[in-house]
Amino acid sequence: MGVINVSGSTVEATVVISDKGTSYAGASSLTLLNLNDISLTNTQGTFRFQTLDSQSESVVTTVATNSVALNLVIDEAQFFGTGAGSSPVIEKGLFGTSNNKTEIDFRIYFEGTSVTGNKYIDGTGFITGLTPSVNPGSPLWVTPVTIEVNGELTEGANS
Amino acid sequence: MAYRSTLLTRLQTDLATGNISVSTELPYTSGSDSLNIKNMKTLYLDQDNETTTQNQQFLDNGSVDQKETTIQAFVSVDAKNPPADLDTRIASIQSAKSSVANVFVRECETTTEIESDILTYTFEYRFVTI
Repeated sequence: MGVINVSGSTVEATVVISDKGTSYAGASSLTLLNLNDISLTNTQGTFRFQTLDSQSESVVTTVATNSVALNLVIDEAQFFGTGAGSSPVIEKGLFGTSNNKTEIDFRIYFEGTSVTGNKYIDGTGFITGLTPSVNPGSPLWVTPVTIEVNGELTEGANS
Repeated sequence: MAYRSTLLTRLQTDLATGNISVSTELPYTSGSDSLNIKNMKTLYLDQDNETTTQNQQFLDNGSVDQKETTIQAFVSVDAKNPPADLDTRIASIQSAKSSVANVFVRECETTTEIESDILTYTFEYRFVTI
């Protein structure tokens, strides 16, 4: 119980993307660097209806829309990929994975990757929403990244 | 690298002619008067002052730091009888900021103050680098 404080060195909020179905193995995964912020969205669809016996609307839930949004300062190797190897995520990087519409697995570690029992949420989706930008007053390339989730989000804990 | 020496080199070139010169001395106080009051129409450039702050802060406890360097310069002239080329020389002093390379902010703010019959210009150069 308690708030989740991510300022400690072993409990940093972390995002890992991985080739689909590779179980986040090191050789097929990228731990995203230089993250400014992360937003996880789990929006339930709703259907509202009115009945003659009630003065207020009722609601039922429908399917959820899930997505992950984050902002990062671009690391060249992660954004453009290494250009070599058998892992599409590592070889193509964020841009190639988005441009090729490659489906990926992702995992959001709420409290770091190393402490047993700490929570994460994972799923599968597509990288989109890349908008690299730079300006003279802030001369580092930054970009938002969106992962449009395909299907369910799953909760888990570090083992 | 100290930007003072870069500025000084440019100012020595740009102020080689005209009614305002530049000194290599720091603007210390001699007796009761600062040097720019004692030696009017001479520009004195102070040392670099540096501040390091975080330009980008990351969730993994990392950061990209930026270094802000400010340098002040002072020149005083007779307020009743300023040099004829004062405006031109002031512009040269301000434009000396462009001599500093590899920074993403280069600015020069100028303020004036009149005390008795002495008009003092204070220039604050500001440079920011990642």
